[in-house]
Amino acid sequence: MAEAKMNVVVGIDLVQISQVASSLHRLADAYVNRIFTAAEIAYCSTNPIVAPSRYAARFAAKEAALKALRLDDQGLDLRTIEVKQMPGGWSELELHGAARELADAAGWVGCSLSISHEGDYATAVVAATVQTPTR
Amino acid sequence: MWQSDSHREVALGDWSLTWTAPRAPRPSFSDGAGPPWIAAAVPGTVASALRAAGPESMRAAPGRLDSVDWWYRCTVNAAPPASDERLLLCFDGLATLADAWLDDVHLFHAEGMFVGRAVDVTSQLRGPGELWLRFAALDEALAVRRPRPRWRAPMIENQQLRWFRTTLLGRTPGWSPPWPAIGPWRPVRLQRRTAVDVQQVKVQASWDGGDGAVSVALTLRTLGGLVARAARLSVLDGEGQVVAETALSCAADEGGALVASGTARVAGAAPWWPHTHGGQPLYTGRVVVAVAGDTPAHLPPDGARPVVVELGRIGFRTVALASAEGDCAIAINGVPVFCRGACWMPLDAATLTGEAEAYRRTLAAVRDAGMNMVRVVGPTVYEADLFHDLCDELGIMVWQDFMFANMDYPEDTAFVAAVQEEARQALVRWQGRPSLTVLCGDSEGEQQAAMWGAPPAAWHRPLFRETLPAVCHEARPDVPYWPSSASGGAFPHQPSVGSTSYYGVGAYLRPLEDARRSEVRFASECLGFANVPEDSVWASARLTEAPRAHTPQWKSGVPRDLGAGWDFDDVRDFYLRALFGVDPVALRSTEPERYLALGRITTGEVMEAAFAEWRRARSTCRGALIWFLRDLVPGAGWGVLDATGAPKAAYHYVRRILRPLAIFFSDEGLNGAWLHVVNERPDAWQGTLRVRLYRDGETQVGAADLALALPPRSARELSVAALLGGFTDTTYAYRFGAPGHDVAAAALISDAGGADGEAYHFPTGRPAGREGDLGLEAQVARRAQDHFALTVRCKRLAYAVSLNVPGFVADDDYFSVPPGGVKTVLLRRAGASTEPRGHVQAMNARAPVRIAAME
Amino acid sequence: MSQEIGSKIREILAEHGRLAKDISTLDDNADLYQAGMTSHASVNLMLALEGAFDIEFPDSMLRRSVFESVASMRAVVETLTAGR
Repeated sequence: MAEAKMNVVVGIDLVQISQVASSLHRLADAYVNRIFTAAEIAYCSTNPIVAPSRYAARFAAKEAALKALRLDDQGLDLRTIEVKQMPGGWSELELHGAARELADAAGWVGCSLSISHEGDYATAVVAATVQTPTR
Repeated sequence: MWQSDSHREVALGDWSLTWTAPRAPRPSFSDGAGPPWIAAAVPGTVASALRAAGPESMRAAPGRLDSVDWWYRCTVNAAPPASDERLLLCFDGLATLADAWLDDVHLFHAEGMFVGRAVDVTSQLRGPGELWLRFAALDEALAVRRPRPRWRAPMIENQQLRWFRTTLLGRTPGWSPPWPAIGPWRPVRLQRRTAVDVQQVKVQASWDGGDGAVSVALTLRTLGGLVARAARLSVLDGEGQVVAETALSCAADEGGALVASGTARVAGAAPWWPHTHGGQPLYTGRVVVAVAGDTPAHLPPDGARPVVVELGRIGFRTVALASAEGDCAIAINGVPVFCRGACWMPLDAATLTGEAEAYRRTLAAVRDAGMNMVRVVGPTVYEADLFHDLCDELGIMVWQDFMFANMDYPEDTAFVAAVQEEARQALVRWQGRPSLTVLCGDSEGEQQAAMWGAPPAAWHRPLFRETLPAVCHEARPDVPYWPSSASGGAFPHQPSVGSTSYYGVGAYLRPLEDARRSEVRFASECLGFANVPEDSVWASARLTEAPRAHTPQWKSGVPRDLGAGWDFDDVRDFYLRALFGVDPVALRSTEPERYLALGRITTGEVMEAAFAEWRRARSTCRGALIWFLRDLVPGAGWGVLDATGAPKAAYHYVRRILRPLAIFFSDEGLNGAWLHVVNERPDAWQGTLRVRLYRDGETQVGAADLALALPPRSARELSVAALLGGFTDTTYAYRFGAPGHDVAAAALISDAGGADGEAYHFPTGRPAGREGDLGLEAQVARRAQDHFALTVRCKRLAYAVSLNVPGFVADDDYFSVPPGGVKTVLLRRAGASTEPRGHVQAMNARAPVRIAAME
Repeated sequence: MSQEIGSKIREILAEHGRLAKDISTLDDNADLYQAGMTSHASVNLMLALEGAFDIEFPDSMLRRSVFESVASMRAVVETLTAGR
């Protein structure tokens, strides 16, 4: 009988908030619409002061998820990785479409997200429990 | 700047100052054996303390202030903090290599005068103590070997100053006084924070052409077990009426602090304008945080008590900087604005700041001069909050450089991080302010690199092209960022592309026509001249009479480029000769008074001629800022205001040419003389344009009157010949015979009867001779308590009439009066005299004329 | 044509790439990630390339290797602009 081997994979990313602010300023809608879902945009854009740090944290989360997915040079629309803001104050990752398929193929059972920002930096860690069949 | 009522200041004791050899141990304060201690005002600098202590202290102090360590000391005492209180020592600015101790506890070592620091001393301050500051000798730090720069900035004495975040004032021997900034130049404060510690306040205002929005994000910490229940944002108008309100959402961040954020919409927000173009409606913002907790000793038993955070000044406007195709054009609220004004210098070169009254008077003089922009320049310092408050109130746009100039600044990680922090702090001080119009990376950095021969790749520096703009975009997305004061074109200082330092008419001795030929686009600095002051300025240098031009005392106030074989007196002399056909050296030697008198109006005439080119509707010029506004030391400095803030002759010429409603001539050669009329105001103007031509200084030979209606924000150009009808050689370009006239006088007279601008054109040259009798008369009449009207009449043309009325300030000076004309000037009492007495002197008259006594 | 694309890409890199080194010192095959380009900068680069060449990167081409060097970007831009 095939036994499942449980593993944890982790991805982390660090983003400079002022660079995100610069992108918001220079590329505006082109930047925002290409990377973030409508729900993410709604949460991030209510207040222009906190917008750069919120967008930066979400960008870091998407990149961290990409790293945890251990893709071997595969292209992925960043909007298929979505950060949802929970009422309790923490964030969770929701994968759609291509990201969902890739996660399933990699054996992802569940994943967890943690976000932080301080000063000019935002960072995110994605940890996923992975189940792979063994012989 | 924001303020919370939960933060209260605790007074510190008096400060004293002394010096030791570099790296010497802390000197003793108590026993008499140590070095001499001097009382020192804080905020203040070593230079200002020595100046206040008197000439003996200045003599005893080391000649080079940067060669020793300076020690400041004061006593500190505060009631022990309660459980819901914190005590912070706030150092708003320490120049430049600073260490601080509380008794024997070393608080920090910090480098950089432009960054403020706060230290939590809650657990350390128990009873009376001593606060010590040491400012290490900068010379020692400069002597350490460091990599060489890719280019040199000749005006700066030591290129390695680039490694230190400190002002270049006092370190540019050619034009700033020899007092480098050393000491606690910004306040040192002991602050008690009760119940709520407000750590950070961010505000942004935006305007969409109809409604405004105010966004805030406050980071705060409640103390002593208290809890923040709710927070509300209110926006108030100039009358204190609430025009918008919203509840803020509160969320805890990872560190346990509370972030309260939200946006309030201000329906129908009234837009702020530069004063030349409209009004300055101002708003304020306020956040009220409701706090409650279980410490009955501090709170009323029934619950929440509010903490009020005042957010500071808010204004609504849009700023656009168009830079496509080499342009550099500013539009406010969608309206293109010709930006003109001057570069700002600190009001006191020793303290690097000024008294409140000095700020008010100087910025009022800026507004009165028709200037709508000042540039805070890279070699100086970030200005005080009051400066920005007044610019907001008076409708003066601010072009704000970051404090970098000319040098090849490092880009290592630590330096860049320090610059980002410096920029962030400055941006917090400027938040919400409508007057902030341009944020500029540095002064002349790209230009200096190019002039020194560095390759084009070196002109674009990541610090000023990427790092700083990113920080700016985050804090002030509504303010355009410009990389360097001279930028754009085949080389950064190319006048016709982007911005430039324009000294063609000026140090480069180009003819006046060069102002048009260069096709100056935006001169972020220009027209730097050694403007001759009135004799009255010398009293402030404790001199009983004005030093003779050319003496060392005179030259100490005249700017020069370091290492050059000429100075700015020579530049002024060149134009004196060009305008009046007079040999300046001969005149200076034989008639020194006449030399200075002509010198006074020379620079004024040149500035007027340059702006007359640049303000024409068809000119490519979008703006020009004079180098600079106010002298740092008494003398013929670059300021149009002298070192006491009084106007020089040049100021009056500038004021007349920069009026929002203005009339001026241009000489179009074979096309004849043209009149240009500009109305920048939001209301229409109706009246008459009057032109008169005179021959031999007296006989009228041509006249035209035109009813004129000027729509708001409009300009017109009119041919004088067309106004006169037929052919008149209005510029004496055809020269078919003797000149038909030697002066043309134009005036705008509003339907209400007021004189709304005057202009003169001299086709055969400005009057250089002197006559015996112009039939000049001057009379005074009282208008109100301290206000008089001085009426000047003359039979023949009176050119550049100057007023000598001690104890009174006039609203015009160095003006011309046409033959048979009348000019009324308002006088305001400013001194002890009760009645105006004195003389008026026309430049083309041999002798002054006494003002007739009042009836 | 390819030369123009190459120099345009270099221009965009200079403005959006945030590299630690001067772009003129890197040849067409130099590894840009080694030269300091972050993942965020590569996204900005992608958007800037889309704007400059009026193209749209399909998901399959949003791969790390596409933005690794001037040469790799040029190849993709040429593919996406082929037949114009």
